[in-house]
Amino acid sequence: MEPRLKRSALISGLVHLAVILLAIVVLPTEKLKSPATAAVDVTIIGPHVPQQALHKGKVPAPANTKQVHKAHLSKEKPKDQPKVAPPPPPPPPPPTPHAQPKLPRPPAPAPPPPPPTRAPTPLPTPPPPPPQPPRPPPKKPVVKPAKKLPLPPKKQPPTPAPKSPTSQKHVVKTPAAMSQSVLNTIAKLRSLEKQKKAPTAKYNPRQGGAPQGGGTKMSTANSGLSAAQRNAIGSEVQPCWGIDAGAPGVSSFSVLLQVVTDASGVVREAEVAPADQGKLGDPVFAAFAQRAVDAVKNYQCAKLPLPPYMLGSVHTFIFRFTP
Amino acid sequence: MTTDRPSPQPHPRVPGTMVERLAPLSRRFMLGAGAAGLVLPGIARAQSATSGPSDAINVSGAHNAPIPIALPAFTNASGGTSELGDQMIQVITSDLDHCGLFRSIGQSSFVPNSIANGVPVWANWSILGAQALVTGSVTDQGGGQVRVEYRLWSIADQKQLQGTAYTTASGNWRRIAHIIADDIYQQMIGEKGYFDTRVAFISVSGPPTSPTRRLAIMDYDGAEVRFLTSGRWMALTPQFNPTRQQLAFVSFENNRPRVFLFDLQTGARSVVGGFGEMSIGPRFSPDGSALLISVTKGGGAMIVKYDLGSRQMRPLTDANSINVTPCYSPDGTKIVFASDRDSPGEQQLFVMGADGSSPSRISYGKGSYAEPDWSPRGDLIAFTRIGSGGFGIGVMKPDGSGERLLSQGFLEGGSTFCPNGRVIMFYRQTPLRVGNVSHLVTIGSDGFNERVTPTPTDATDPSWGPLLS
Repeated sequence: MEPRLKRSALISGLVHLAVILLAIVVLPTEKLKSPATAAVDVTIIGPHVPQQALHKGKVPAPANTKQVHKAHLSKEKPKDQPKVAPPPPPPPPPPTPHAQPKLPRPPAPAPPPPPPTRAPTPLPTPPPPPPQPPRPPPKKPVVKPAKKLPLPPKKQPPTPAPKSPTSQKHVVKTPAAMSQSVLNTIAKLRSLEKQKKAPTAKYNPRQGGAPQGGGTKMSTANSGLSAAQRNAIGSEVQPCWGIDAGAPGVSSFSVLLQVVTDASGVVREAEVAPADQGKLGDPVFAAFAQRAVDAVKNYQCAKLPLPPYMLGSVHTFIFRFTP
Repeated sequence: MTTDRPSPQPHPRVPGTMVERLAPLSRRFMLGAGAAGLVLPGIARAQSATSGPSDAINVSGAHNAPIPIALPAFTNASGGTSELGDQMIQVITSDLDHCGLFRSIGQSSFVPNSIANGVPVWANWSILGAQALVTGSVTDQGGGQVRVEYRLWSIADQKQLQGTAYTTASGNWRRIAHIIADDIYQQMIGEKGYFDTRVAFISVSGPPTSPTRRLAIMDYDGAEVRFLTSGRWMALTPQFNPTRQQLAFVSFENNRPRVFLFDLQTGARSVVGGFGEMSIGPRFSPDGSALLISVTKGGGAMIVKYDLGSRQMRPLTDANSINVTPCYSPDGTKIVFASDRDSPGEQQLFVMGADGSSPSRISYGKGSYAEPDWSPRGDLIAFTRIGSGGFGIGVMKPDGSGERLLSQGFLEGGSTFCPNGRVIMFYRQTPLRVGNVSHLVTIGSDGFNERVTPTPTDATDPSWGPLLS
């Protein structure tokens, strides 16, 4: 290397070194401060705690709050504690129950007047739409004069379909709960009575009448389901099926329900089947049966997995609920 | 020379046609088939009457689930908030939660305006999973009287199940709340409730070396505590009369252990008497006309029956062993008691006739058995079991089968059934650094839903009284 080049390189290196040293020594060295963490007050808002649970766990009271008055854990003696045996206060008088069983539904009172509202500020009327250019009149089609056809015969109104025993309740409802009318009583009995089988009356040519007994058979759609389909429906309702395991005799209970589904397969009606109606006199069994009704009508379990060919029409099924 | 040919052996008869084979059986077969034809349809008919059609959709595998119930606050007459209504619904909610058969839905999850003109908006309650709803109101009638009206609704059936109104003094609001809870319980469960009841117990206070034991009474949930004795003399083992508001207890008044009767209606106190060297554990008969008492004599203790009317006493056992803590069956025909007659020093449970006849042992587990209490249902006997692991509260059937422990602890005892036999109350002592602390605890007869009953002092020896209403 030429001596000139060497000298230049040396001078350059020294200058660079000097600059670096200057940068280290002269420039300020400040440490980056960590961001300040501000304290956050946390207020725990819990749900309403029942009285008993206050004494279950060891939940410390939050600081700077009033002591919850645990009225029944106070260690203080009652102030009016006499030395001599105190006469015990008589028990509170029994209430006079003006029992009004089965209060009727409250009549719908007149709706309250609507609260006064501010007159709404009128909105500016929108500008009228721009006028559209007139359309050319449509060409009139050339119509040949047609022959006058006779008026079609008036359509006869369709005959009403026979009332399905499963689609709706009996029309006649008890207009008055305590009605003494015999007709009302008969109508009520008819609505409760369900025909289970065809009458066995025989044709009597002397008296006339139908050659075979009238009435319709009470039928269910269970026969249209396979065993696997029935099991699937039962499994759908099972999660909603709860009982009182401590009820006396519950382990041997069994209840049949008549369940009506709508066209989409959702349970709409459920009641104890006639075969088990007689057991409802036992209040414990009645409570068990009501739990079964609640289970099948629970909105979480009421959509039954019916086969596609059963959708679109109303069906009645028989369910058997056992513990 | 001639030889005799043996006579030909007769050939065995070979069955020929099917008729020949079946002929001997045809008569039996026809008879059997005919009988089956008569019997089997009857059996099938009977089965179908109880079990329904064979193609019914079966739902089984039920779970032991509480009934979800919504309890919005009771309003005042104008539909606004009511402080008394809030207090009452809180008591009703606590009652229904206490029994473990209901699950109250928190008010914070209610949809606003879900009751229109006094009628529930069914969809708003159904979406919460509620199966029942209780609405009500409290109206000031003036003169210190209030009218409390409530309605119980079925969400699934969308109809009212019950509606009742009560009028009473405003100071009686807590009892009305318990009565309403009992109504709801009975309507939904099918049995009478137990909320409108009181419990007698022994209040223990003061230094552990010389505690003060006073007779006290409270609502079953620990409210309305009242002390019935001053504490000057030790009181023990209170027992409620099953037919009226009366207590029997042992007091060491003037250092003489005697049985006393306390009338809760009038506050009157009377002495039954001192029997033998010491009288302990008085127990009323189911009709309240007699007391069973354990009387010490010599080195043993015998059970006597004391007729409260005639004041006559009749021994039911001898005193050759220790026979204590008797309890009648609900029908009054039998008595269960603890005795060490089989193995001295180790008590077991025995059942005998109400006249003391035919005692038979029913407990055979390890350890000792004590303090039996017969369920009002008659199906279970609660007891205290003392073993190597400490103390425990258990139940068994009256014949001794089906024994199971519900609770175990350092020291537990004094089990008493509620009036419908669903819940058992007992006391539990927990050791502290100095002395013990004693609480009253309730637990379901199925072993679930254990809860502590708050008392102002330590408490032992509970006795659950009958329904007030």
